[in-house]
Amino acid sequence: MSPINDIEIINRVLEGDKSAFADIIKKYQNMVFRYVYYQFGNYDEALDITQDIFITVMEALGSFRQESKFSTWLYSIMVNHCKNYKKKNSRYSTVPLKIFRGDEEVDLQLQDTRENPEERIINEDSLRILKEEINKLPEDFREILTLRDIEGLSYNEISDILGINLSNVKVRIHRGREYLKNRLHARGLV
Amino acid sequence: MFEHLTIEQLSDYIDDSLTEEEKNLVVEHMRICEICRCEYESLNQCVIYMSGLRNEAFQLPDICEKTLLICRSREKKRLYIKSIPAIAASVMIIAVAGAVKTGLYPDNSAYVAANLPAQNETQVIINAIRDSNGRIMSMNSDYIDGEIDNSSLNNLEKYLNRNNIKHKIIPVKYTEAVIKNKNLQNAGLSSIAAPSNEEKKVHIIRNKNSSKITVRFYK
Repeated sequence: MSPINDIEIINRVLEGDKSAFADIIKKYQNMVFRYVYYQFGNYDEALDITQDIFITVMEALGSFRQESKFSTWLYSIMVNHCKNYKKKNSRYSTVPLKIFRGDEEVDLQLQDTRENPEERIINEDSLRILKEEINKLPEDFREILTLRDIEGLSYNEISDILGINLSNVKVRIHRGREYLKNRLHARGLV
Repeated sequence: MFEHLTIEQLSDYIDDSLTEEEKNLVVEHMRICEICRCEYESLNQCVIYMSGLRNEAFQLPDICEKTLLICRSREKKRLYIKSIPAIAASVMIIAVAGAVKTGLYPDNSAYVAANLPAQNETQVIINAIRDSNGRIMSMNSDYIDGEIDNSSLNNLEKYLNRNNIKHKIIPVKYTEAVIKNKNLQNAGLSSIAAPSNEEKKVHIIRNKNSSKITVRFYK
């Protein structure tokens, strides 16, 4: 879906066709959920927060000035919502990064779409270690590495979303990667 | 001195954000430096692991319907809250109008006067003259001169006594001409010294030959 379509949908919503917002939710829910999930580590809670983010986005839709891409504006709301949520719930310092549905822990299926998956396959143990180490990252690093390395956003987009300048984005990404690499190296993963 | 590549160089190389020249430098260095090559491979593997998480298949329930439902409900609530002041104002207007109409809330000046805040001294004096069927003749910052009917003297005295206002009756010759000109100075009032605070406050100038009595209230 192109950015033009986003604007078309937003205009329809603003003109009163609220149900059109479902298209925005469907388009961005996976990305939003994934980001939230890696910040909090709990499936059910991440789902609730994702829903809250979309409610906030819909209610704030009138204030979207179309000066940036809609996705950038949405991600800014998402990042700020997560920060505020963390402030209110300071217990999120060391939550194990696993998927829970109710009391049951659920395994994740990781689809490897790279050229030679047999060479770089990530097994369940590696995935568990990786998630544990992501969860242990300092918040600034976790936030920026999720946007950059998991979501693949550009430096410029990250700069807009986080409201920090480009050189700070780069520094934080370099430091975050170095930190995570050292942690994964210590766990024998890299 | 042989310098290894920095984390910035390696990270930028992975992100393909180096210039051609910088990129060649990094490639050339890694070709001869095993330490930097290992560092690069570790860092690159780390980034590959992270980017692999993008393909994670989360099974999400349909949150569209619930989200839209919550949005609609919150909007209704917001509209309701916005309308509360208008509703409250309408209810209040209807209630007051109803109370006035049914007589629960007397709509007359006596009620209003009785419920006004405490009156100041000037208002008390004006009321005293008004209640004695009199009229104000002149007023300045020190005193108020009024004129009342002879027959209202009793009422005025009752009022003064009731309000513990000290007063003194002074007989003065009071001519018809003076009344017409309303010139109290010539009627002898100018000769009356202002009372001290312990005395008080009202001089009643009486002329048995006139139907009018002049009253000077000192503030």
